[in-house]
Amino acid sequence: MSTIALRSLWKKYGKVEAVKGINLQIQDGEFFCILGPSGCGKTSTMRMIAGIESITAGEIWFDNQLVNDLAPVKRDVAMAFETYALYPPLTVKENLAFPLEARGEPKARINERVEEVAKILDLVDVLDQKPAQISGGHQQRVSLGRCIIRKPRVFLFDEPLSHVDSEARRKMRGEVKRLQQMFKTTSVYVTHDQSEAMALADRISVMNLGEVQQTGTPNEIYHHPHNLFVADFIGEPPFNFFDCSVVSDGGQLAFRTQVGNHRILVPNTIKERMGDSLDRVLRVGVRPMYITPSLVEQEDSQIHGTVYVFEGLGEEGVLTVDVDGSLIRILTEPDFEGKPGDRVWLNVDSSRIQVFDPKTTNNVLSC
Amino acid sequence: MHFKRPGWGKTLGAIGMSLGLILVLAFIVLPLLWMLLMSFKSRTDVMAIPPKIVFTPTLVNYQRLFFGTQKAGYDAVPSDFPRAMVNTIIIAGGATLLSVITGTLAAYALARLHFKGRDFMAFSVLSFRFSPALSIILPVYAIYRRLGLYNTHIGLILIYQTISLPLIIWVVRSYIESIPVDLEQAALVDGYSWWGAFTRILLPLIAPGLAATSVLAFVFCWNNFTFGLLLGAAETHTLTVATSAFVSYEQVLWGVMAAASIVTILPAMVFIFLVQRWLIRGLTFGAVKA
Amino acid sequence: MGEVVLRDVRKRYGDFEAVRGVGFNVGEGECVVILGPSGAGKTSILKMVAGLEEVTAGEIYIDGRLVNNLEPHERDVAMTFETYALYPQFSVYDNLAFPLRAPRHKVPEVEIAERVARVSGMLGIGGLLDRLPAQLSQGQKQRVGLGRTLVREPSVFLFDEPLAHVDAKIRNRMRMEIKGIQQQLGCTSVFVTHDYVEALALGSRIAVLNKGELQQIGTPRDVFESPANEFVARIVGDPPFNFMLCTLVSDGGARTFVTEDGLCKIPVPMEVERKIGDRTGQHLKLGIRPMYVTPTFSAQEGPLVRGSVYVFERRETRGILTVRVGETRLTAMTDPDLKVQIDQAICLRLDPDRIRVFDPESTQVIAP
Repeated sequence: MSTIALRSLWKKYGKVEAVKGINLQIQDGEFFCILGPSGCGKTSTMRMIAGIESITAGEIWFDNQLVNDLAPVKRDVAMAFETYALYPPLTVKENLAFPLEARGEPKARINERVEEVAKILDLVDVLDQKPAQISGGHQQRVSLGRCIIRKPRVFLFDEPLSHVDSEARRKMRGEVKRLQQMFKTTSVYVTHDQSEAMALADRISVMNLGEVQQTGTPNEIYHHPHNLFVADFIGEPPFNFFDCSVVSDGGQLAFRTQVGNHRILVPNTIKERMGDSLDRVLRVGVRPMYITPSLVEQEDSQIHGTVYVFEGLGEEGVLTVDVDGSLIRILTEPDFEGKPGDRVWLNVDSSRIQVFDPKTTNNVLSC
Repeated sequence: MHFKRPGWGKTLGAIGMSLGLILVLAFIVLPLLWMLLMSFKSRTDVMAIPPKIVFTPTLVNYQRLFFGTQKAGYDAVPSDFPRAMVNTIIIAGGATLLSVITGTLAAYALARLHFKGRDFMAFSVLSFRFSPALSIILPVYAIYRRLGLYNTHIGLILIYQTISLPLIIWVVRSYIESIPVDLEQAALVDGYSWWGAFTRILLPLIAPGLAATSVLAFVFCWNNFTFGLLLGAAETHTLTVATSAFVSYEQVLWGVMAAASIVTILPAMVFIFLVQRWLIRGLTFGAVKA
Repeated sequence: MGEVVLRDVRKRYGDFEAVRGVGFNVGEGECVVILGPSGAGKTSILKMVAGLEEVTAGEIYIDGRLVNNLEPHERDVAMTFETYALYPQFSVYDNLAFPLRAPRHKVPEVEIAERVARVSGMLGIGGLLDRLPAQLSQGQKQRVGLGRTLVREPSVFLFDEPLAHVDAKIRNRMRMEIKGIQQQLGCTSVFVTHDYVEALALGSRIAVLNKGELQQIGTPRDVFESPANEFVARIVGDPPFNFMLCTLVSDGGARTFVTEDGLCKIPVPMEVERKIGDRTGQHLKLGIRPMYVTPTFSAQEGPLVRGSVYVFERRETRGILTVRVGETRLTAMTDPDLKVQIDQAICLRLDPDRIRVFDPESTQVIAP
């Protein structure tokens, strides 16, 4: 168990600045995700935590220990790689025992731990088989088992599920989450898949181009993104954006869209802030789940357009509406009566809107 | 790892490697250089002991090479060099052309079509490169005499296929395999016949590699000695054979032979130099299968 | 626009039978999605329709014509490939123009320019016309591949897993755009995928394929709500269909399903009771979609199952709760902010109208 602190951490590859002075504080026992598109610096960061990448500048602390110059093996971290890295000629039992044997643990201890881990991961039936003889799902659990058997201070996961097929990925997500909750080992999980991070993490740090964009719980990041990058990156279908100016509509403040003259009411909670923003162009974002469509004209509906496409996806539906040339996506029930070309009126839940400054890309409401 | 490790070990290693490379290079280049010098030396200079590095160059060897047949007596040359040049161009060139056409089509079949014994056939073709020419020369000689192919250009072009064809088939097959079959399928669906897809899509993509390999095949044919010697006579002598004729009972015409060697090697060297980049890419490409 | 008819189509590669007697129709303007895992034979079927593979047995008709022996270029079909198959030596413009320049089409250059402009505009790739495929991103390559099929106006469009190698966000967007284009053009299409979401979104009907055999063909609604067998039930939906092995027990008048460990008793719903017949004492498999399973902490009406929390994951709009019930695990779709602890005792209520019963051996659905 360990806390991890990154202080002004830098990584340069020649002239390329992969990680630019980031600061992170990971709590003891936390499941922490570093999330971002490829090239954002997340893998470099994790490799520096592991010790397999040198640090250009800054510090990494495990609890009260500065680990910058500690070799990976001394840091007591366990890494789960993308490929399972199972030793083919060894049985599952021997694979699991390997990390402990490498450390010279006594035989009795090893057997005890192997049995424990095998029980937790449901591997008791395959202990005597070789990796080639067991299913993909079992192989993944053996790989995880090798990670946890050492009871390391920290688990490090480097996109472990990115090349796994969707069925196996779904199962593994659940296993990883459950394991982490059982052992409460500090875990750092790197991924580019935002749904994975949102499902598994206690807290997430979103990175882009070497910098941390926002750190927070999944809820915070989802409902209160600090800037346009985070807003657009998290959530699928993504935020719908409207460029608006603030207008006073007979006493009521409203966002008026630049194109098409639609209005979204400014909720009371942010009225004051918007008061002195008259005539400023702002980007208003609404998530697909906070828009309600109606095929019948509603009095208080704020935006209207025509149905572009409806996709019924079994458990839910995605309605795409053409609003003056832009496509807005809305989450709905799996059945929807409208046909392409039908007029549709949209009601926006104003309490859920986010407002961004198009120039600075920052969330006007968070500052 | 990004740790920097300057140290004696690395520098010494680098020096050692350079020395080694220089030695190897010298081993290869020096004889050629000597031969070049020799081709410009007069008869007496050639035989001088100790060997002369500084001397007055003369073109007499080259003159004898090209115009020697017109002289007689002491100045006569035992072989018809210009004719040998023409022969070699016809034979090596013709053999390569034939190999390229048939080899490319064969490579396509071996790469794309599925039939029984395909891999066995491919390997057999390759195995021709392994077996020495001399092992088949006697039966071939007998067959050629029977068929009247002895001492004909066509006969030599045909036997030269054992040199160039396996090479072209093997390399071009790898090339074709490295190009996804999807591309041709897309062309078929887009409205082209098989031939259209082959010429417009596949050929342009393998053209550079094919050109480089043909140059290599050409050079191998150009350099061949045994077939020209044993299946040809004066009318079809190739350059390699003609050059060897300068060794006779009475004398070894060192200077002239050196000149002949230089002339024989020159075209090959020029070609290879021009296509070397493609050659390396082409040959290693074939080695790595997706 | 054309019709496609497949009749008892079979494909054999050496000893291996990849496609076993598949038959279905694609009506004019319809989009039929062939859904199945890799190796199911779906690409073989598509390639047989295109003419890139020979039909071992059976018949394929396009527009009423028997096409078994016709070359691909004689069939008037267009196809997108999983790998995009863009010609690397041609610019995007030339890639799009290539089909129109084929000898059999002989379209004049002026018209080619027009069509390319129109299609590239529709797909948002107008600015990329001078680039080479190597300079394009995955998403852009996918659009060019799609564009190449749209420049012609063939009878039938064939799609071979076009969205397989694209990132999730781009995939969702492209799927929506493909649907938009399909609805605009009303083209007859056969679409192959392993992703059930694409199948539900794009297909007017879905043909589910496993190991070369057709499992079920029906509307997305049919396939989702009324799967014909276990395979179809599992392949559509995420989290997948729940299954529980039970015994049918007669308790005086009413019958119940009893789970293997004997702990849970589920009364047989009315709809099921009618169709299930006399199978008292038999082992049966109960199935229900996670969206029809609700967690509850208090005793409630309706079929209840007892278990302990295995893990809870949140998705955007909902939570996925996995519960250990005896030896099996059931998933339920819940409120995203559900608060539970692992190994906590919990009950799951199953919506009785949505329970389906399967025969454990034949895997076919018995009721309702």
